Amino acid sequence: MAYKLRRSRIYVPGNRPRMLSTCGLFGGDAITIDLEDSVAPDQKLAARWLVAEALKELDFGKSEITVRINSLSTPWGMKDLEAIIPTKRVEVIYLPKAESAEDIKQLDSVLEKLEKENDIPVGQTKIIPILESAKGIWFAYDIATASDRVVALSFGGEDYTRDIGGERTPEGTELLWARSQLVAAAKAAGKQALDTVHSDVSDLEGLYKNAVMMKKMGFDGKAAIHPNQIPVIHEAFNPTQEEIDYALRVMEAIEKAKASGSGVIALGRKMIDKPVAEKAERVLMIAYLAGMIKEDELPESIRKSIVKEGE
Amino acid sequence: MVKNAVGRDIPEEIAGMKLIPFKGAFAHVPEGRKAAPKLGYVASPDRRDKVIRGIEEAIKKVGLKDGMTISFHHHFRDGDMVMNMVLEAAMKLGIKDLTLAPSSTFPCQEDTVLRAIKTGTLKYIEGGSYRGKIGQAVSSGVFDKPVRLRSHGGRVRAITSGDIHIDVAFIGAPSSDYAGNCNGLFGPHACGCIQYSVVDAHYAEKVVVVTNNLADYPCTPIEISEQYVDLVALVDQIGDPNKIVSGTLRITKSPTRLKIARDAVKLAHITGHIYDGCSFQAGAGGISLAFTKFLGELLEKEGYVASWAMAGTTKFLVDILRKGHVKKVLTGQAFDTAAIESMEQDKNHFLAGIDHYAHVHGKGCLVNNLDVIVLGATEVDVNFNVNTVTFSNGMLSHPIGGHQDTAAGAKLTIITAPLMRGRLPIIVDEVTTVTTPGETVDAVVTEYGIAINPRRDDLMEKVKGSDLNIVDIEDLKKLAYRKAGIKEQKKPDWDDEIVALVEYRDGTIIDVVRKVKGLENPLDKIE
Amino acid sequence: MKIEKEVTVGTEEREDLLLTLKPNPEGGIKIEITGKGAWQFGDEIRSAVESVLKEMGVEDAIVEIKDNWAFDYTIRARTRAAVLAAMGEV
Repeated sequence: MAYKLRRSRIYVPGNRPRMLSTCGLFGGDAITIDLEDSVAPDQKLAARWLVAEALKELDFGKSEITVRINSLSTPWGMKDLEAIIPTKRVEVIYLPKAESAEDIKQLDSVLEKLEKENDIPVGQTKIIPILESAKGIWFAYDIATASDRVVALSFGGEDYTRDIGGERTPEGTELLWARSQLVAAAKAAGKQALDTVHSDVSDLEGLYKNAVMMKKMGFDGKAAIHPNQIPVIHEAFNPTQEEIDYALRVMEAIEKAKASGSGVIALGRKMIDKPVAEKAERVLMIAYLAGMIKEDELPESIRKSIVKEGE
Repeated sequence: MVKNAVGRDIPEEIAGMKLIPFKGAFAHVPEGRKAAPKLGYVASPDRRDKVIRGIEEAIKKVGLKDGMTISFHHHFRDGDMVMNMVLEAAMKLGIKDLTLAPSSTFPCQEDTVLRAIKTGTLKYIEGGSYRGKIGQAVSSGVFDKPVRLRSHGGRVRAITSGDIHIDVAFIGAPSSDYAGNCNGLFGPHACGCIQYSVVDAHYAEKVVVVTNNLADYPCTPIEISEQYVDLVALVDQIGDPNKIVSGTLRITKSPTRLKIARDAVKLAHITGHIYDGCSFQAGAGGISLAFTKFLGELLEKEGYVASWAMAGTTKFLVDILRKGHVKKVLTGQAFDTAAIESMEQDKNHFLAGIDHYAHVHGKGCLVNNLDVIVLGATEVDVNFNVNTVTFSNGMLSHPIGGHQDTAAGAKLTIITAPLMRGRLPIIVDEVTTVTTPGETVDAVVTEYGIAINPRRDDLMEKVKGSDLNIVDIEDLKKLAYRKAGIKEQKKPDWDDEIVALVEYRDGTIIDVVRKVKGLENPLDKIE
Repeated sequence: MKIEKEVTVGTEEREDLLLTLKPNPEGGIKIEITGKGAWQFGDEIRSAVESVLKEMGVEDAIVEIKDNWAFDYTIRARTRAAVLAAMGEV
């Protein structure tokens, strides 16, 4: 099972050279270079070409390189893609205001055309739709399954709240159902679920509490708008030592049962069924990718799947 | 011309002065004895006869004449009024050809100093900081002989050896009694302490204490005693209290600088320089202030108690002291109101003289006992030489400060700097001007990685297996050049004429600075 | 290709530049560089602008640059955006 670590993604405004130069330094799992809401309409053209040049030139460290383009219903979206895809450096396109499977299919066919024109293996560029309206959340499963390029669903909390005519609260009750729906849709489709930003940059304690809650709800990661937020988000989404220890014991029990030919796997008095086994594998994979355990500490079955991904 | 120990060409003689080229951080052995002023004399013990109202009267009474050398401290920083006051009075009285020998200069003094040069009142500036318009004036060739850049310790050396002969030291004191016992701790314009002026007081021919706050006799604490004081000049203001010290110093918000500060603390910890009982110097700005904060957090986390720290004192260091994570603080300069308050209230907060801090021709100094120091740079080269005094075009930019002294003394000297300043590489092939020699520099921490001086293979051993990003300094330089889009450094825009000599703390010459071609002389803008 | 109108691209932030592209009635390319990096990187800035103008077929233009330590990729990007903006693109 291949797994891509997406605990954090840091938004970088696309028209600010200094921020583009430094964003790769802070260890985010991904950077999201933004051409949409953080760029004023009269700067869209300049930002587009700055981002294209930056993609060709800059080193973003180990972060996954993603770009949030303008919606394809604007005069800018298509032009964004035509400028950035040929750089061959874009790994994921974040599509804002995704509301239907058609939105995804439209993007999919544009990407296919541009990949073919630019000698990029078709399907290599992934899509992460941003669900930030009532429609987007409602049709979440259709959106998630609209294309193989979709690897995750992400949530835009501010715009969603506005769209439903609600109000942001500290407890986040207004977002509870939307988040749950997004997670269920994503996981039913076999994709990841990514949560929205925590806008108070100085409130790291609140961010941590929120991120821990999101992990419990089934999210795989959260967006950041400042480098200081990255280590906090990672700490919240990383497996705990207890989880890692338990997962190792689960895998050991599975190995033992396989070796003895037993059909029933038990750990102590607890039965280990498929969900438990899958969770253990996922926990260990994340722990390894996050640098919490070394490759030789991984059970062989998981180590094998890492090698497969690398090839 | 002779090549010195860092490979720079030094003339053997200039403007009638013989020069000793830099030989190595600890190579030069001094000869001779300390200089000293004439013995003092009090004609009659009339208690009030030192007190005089007004700076002009004081200048006349002390006998300031053409050609003399006058000195000032910089404890009031950009809020200082004493230097300007004295220069204005000297200009008014028509005094000419003075030499100014300050411990540093600040922007608020630039215009007055330049005017004094233009009117002929000032002929030369001996040491201090050549920055801003004063730096530009020197770099454009305003003086007919080269100036000398010195570190804090170097200035003490020059005064005690007689290289600088101060005729009148003007010492701004927030509190003084009628006899001249004075301090920087109390008074409406309190600055914490006036330790930079103590060596001036001890070696100057005449000393004028300038104060706006007459205290009861004896004025305590006694930083400078009446034995050294000729006159106590009473004026209305000696500084701008809002600019003398800061109300609230904040650490940098730049994520890059914060990362560098964190990595520097980590490096110092992993290499065994932060431990229970260690010593450190606290910084007052930029990355070094952030370093102080993160160091405090580490001390707390590990339960260490540092044995002493010296400073540049700020609230951040005071917090560490009050939380019990450092036993004693020695202050040479206070930067905020929290520091001043602590100096008054905390019994484990002490004064440190600048001579005790950094004078290399004494029998020991504080910097020799430091475990770790974190310093900045305008440039660092692949041999770990550091430039703090010129811009890449060769113009004078900043003072040396305590850089040479602390780098030589501390067990671990870390230079913290971003890889680039804007588009300019900070890591270069050859620094424009050598200020601090690479033999005293142990590591460079940038946001793109940490380079360790190959001389320190003990440090290389200690960082093996850690998750610190250790890189070769050559690779940092190559990365910087690649980002800047250049293949090699542009040489500074220099003429042949030497406008400044960079002294090492022992008085030898470590580098020279030349006149910048076509540079506008700021004096031309003055009527 | 001729530049028919004046456009300005970029910001005054560090690592950026303000680039103004204007018609040149006298013909040819004229580049004026001021600002922080002008002395140190004047040659590099000039080359970056010229290479983009050449690639886009611009033969007559005045380019005024106020530099704030911009890297070459930013200079190229702002030049391209300026030419496209002058041609009426958004």
